[in-house]
Amino acid sequence: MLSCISSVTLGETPQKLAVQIDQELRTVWKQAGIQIGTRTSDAEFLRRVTLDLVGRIPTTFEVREFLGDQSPDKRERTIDRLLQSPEYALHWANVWRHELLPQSDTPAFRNLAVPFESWLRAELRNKSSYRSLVQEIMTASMNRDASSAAVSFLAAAEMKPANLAANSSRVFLGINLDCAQCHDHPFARWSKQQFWQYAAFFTAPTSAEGQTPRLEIAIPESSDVAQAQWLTADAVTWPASVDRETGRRVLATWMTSSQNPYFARNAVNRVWAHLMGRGLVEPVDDLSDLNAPAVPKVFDLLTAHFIATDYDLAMLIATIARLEAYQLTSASAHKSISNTDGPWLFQTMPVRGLSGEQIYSSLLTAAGTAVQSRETNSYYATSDRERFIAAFTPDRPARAQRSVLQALELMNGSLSAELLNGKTVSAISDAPFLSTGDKLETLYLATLNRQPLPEETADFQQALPALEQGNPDALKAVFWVLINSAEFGVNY
Amino acid sequence: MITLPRTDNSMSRRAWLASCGLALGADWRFSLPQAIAANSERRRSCILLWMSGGPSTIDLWDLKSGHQNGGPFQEIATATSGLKFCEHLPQLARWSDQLAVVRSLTTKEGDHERATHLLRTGYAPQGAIQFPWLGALTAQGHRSDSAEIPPFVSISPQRAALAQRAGGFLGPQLNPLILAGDDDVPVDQALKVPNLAPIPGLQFERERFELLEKLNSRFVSGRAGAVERSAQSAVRSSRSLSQQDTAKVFDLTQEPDSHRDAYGRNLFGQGLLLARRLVEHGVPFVDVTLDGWDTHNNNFTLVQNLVGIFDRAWAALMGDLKDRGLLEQTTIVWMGEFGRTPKINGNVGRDHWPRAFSAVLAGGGIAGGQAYGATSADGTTVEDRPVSVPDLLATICRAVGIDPVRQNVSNVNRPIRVVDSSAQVLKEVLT
Repeated sequence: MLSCISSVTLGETPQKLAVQIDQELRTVWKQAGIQIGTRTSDAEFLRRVTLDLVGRIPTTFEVREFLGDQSPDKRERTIDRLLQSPEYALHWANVWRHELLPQSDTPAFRNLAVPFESWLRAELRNKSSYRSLVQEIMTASMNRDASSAAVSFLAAAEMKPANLAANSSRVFLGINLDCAQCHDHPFARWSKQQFWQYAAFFTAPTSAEGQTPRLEIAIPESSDVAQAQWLTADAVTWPASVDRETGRRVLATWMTSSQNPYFARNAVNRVWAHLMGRGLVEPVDDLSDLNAPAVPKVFDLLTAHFIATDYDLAMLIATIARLEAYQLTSASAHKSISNTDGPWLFQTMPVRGLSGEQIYSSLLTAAGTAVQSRETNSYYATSDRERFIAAFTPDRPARAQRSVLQALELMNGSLSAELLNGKTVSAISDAPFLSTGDKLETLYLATLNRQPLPEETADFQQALPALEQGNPDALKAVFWVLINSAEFGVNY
Repeated sequence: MITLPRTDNSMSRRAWLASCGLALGADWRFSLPQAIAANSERRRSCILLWMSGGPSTIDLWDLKSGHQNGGPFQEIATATSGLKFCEHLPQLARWSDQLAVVRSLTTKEGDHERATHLLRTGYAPQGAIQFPWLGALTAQGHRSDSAEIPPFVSISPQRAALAQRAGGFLGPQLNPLILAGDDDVPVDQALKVPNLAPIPGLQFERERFELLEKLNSRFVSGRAGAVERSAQSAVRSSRSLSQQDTAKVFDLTQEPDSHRDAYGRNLFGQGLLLARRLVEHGVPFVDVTLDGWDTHNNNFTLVQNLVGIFDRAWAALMGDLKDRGLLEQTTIVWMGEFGRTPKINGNVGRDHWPRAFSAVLAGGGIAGGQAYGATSADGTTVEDRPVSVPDLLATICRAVGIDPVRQNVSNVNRPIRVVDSSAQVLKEVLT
C-alpha cells in the first residue's frame, strides 16, 4: 500500500502525486470516451483556490499580482502561499467544525461552536496531524479541570453511547449506522447487534470482584447485552488497568490505526468532496462496499499518501488543488460534458455553493475591509455576523442552493447597506480622474475578481450614464449589482 | 451513479425528446409545458398539515378502545353518524362531514428520513434522483416569473435544509419560500419575511435589476447546475416578493386579535392562519409543520398536547375558509411519515409503525364524512382496502386538479411520473 512516495522528499510530494493522479484520471476519461472540460482561466483559478483554501475571494491586489505574474509555476506557488497563511487555519477550522460537529449549527448546541472552532484553529496552526486531532476529540477528558474544547464532540452527543456511536462512526469512519440503532435494515451492512457492540465502547466498565472489567451495554427493547466489539472482525485487546475512559481510548486507537480501512479513506473523501463538489464515494456518509468509488485507483493513491504523510491535511489539499481535474472550468462548452448518464468521473468542475462564512468574508473583502481584522474573538462574537451566517448555513455547501430569503438578505439587508459605504466604493468616488472603464474595472476586480467583458462595460455604461461623472449613487448601484449576482454568490 | 442535476426542466425535456427522436403527438402522455397550461382545468389550492415525527394515528382517528392496545383516550361521536374520533378532537369532530379519514395507509418505510421522503415525494429514495416534493409538483404549471409570491410556501419545516431543495429535478425555481425554518425566534417574528424593504436611498432600481438579470443570464448559460440557477431564480422571486402589496400578505397584524386567538397563539396555529392568507392570495401550495410526534416515550401526554394545538387550529381554518367561500377551492391534507406501534412499549410510548396508519383529506374535491379502509382489531394490520402512498398522492392530485400520470424528465434523464404508475386513485374519497 505504501508506494514509492516515501522515497520522495515531502516538499516535492504533492506535485509528483498530482501528476500520477492526473495520469490515472486521463486514462479513466479516455476509457470512458467522455469529453472533459477546459482549463480554468487564471482569474477563475485564483478566485476558486482562494475561496477553497482561505475561505474568501481574493483582494484586488492579489488578483492584479496573479494576473500580472508570468511565471509558469504561479498556480502551485499560490496554493502553497495560501496554505501557509494564517487564514488557512481560520477557514478550515470552520469547515471541520461544520463537518465534525453539525450539531453546533442547531440552537441546542450553538454554544459549542466558538470554543470548538477555536480549538480546531489552534490545532491546524500547530500543524497537528488529523489523526492526533481525532484522537484528542475521542479521548477528551470529561473532567472539568482538564477539559479542552475538544470535549465539544462528546458534549454534542450528550455523552450518550448511542449518539456517540452514530456520530463518531459517521464523521470519523464514513459509516452510517443510523438505521442499525433500532433494527436490522435489509439494505444496510450493519446489524443492530453491531451498533450496540460499537456503542459499548462509550460506556464505563463494569467489573465484578476478581473478573476482568468489561464494557457492555443493554440493547433497548430486548433482554440482550452487547459486549464491546469493533465494526471489523479484529479482536479487542484490553489494557491491564481499566478506568472510566478506557473504552474511548481503546476505540480511538483502533479507529485511527493505519490498518483501519475507513479512517483515512473517510478523511480523504470528505476533503475531496469539499474541493471537487462530489466525493470519490457518494454519499460521503456511506463508505460501505455497496458504494464503489468511481475512480478507485485515485482514492487508493490519495489514501496511501495521506497515511504516509502522517495524515497531513495541508499536504492533501495541496495535492488535490494541483490536479488537472481541480483546475477544470465549470463553464461547459459542450452540454455532453456534464449531462452524461454514466458515473461522475470529475470530467468538469460543478458550480458549488458557498458557506455563510465564505459569503460574509467575501462581502467584506469586496467592500475593502482589511483581512486581518477578522481574527479577533470579538469579530466572531458579533451577533449580526452570526445571524447573517446562520441564514446561509446549508447542510452541504457544495450543493447549497440560493433561497429567496437569502436573496432578500443580500438585496435589502443591513450588511449590504453598510458595505455600499465601504472603502471600495468610496475610493472610486474619491478618484474623479478615473474613466468609466477604469471605474468598472476596479469594481469588477474587487467583487468578481476579473476584468469586465466589453459587452458588460457597454451594458453598464448604457444603463448608468451617471457613472461618467463618478456619481456615487451610480457607483453604489454597480457594486450592488455585482455582489447580488449569481457569479459572486457561488464558487465556480 | 452520480450525475449533475438538471434544473431547467423544459429545456432538457426538449433536448431529451429530440435525442429520442420522438415526434410530438406520438405519445399523448408526453406533454410540453405549453400543452399543460392549455389543458389545465381550474385548479384548487392545497394546504398540507405535516405532522413531523410520525403521529400516533391509532390514538387520533382509528382508536382501538377496549383492546389492550387502545391506550387511555376515549372515542367521541362526531357530526357524522358512525364515525368516531379521539376525545381530544372535539372541534374537528364538528367538521367530520368535511373529513375523509383514510385508515388503511401502509408503507414499508420505518425510518424517519426514508419515510418522510416517501410521503413528501411519493417515491422511496433512489440514489441520485432528486424527487420533487408534492408542493413543487403542485406548483409546477402555476409557475410564472411574474408571480408575486413563490407558488410553494413551507412554514416551519422540521429541516429547512431539506425543504430548501424540495423543487428537486423540477428546478430551483420550484423550491419553496421557507418561513420560520430552524429558528428559535418568537412566533410573531418567525412568520415574517425579513428584508422585504429595499435599502433606503439606493437609486436606479429599474436599471439595477435589468443589469442583474443580464449578468446572471450570461453566467448561467453554459453551466448546467442547480446551484447557479437557484441564485438567478431567487433574485427574480425576491424582486416580485418585495412589491408593496405582496408584503402585506405576510403581515398577521392585519387580522383581528380574536381571529388570531381562534387559531391559537402558537407557531402552528399562526402558521395555518398565514396559510389561509396565502391561499386567499392565490398561492397553490402551502405546508405547515407541527413537530414533536416521535413519541417513543410518554406517548399520551405528548400526543394530547399536540392534538390540542391542531384540533383548534385546523377547525379554525375550516371555519375561516368556509366563511370566505374558499373551502370548495382548497384541498387540505393531514399526514405524517408513519403511524405508531399499536403495542404500547415499556416507556408508555409507541414506536414507529408504517404498516397501518391514517391520513386525513378534507375540503375541496373530497367526499367527507367517511372513514376509508379499516385496520384489524388490534390495529397492527390493514384489513380492508390498503392504500399505498402513490394511491394517496394520486388522489390528492385529482382533487387539486393535476394529472398524476404526467411525466417529467428527471435529473438522470429518466422520465418520472408525478405519481408512480402503480397508483390507484381512491374514487370514493373524491367528490
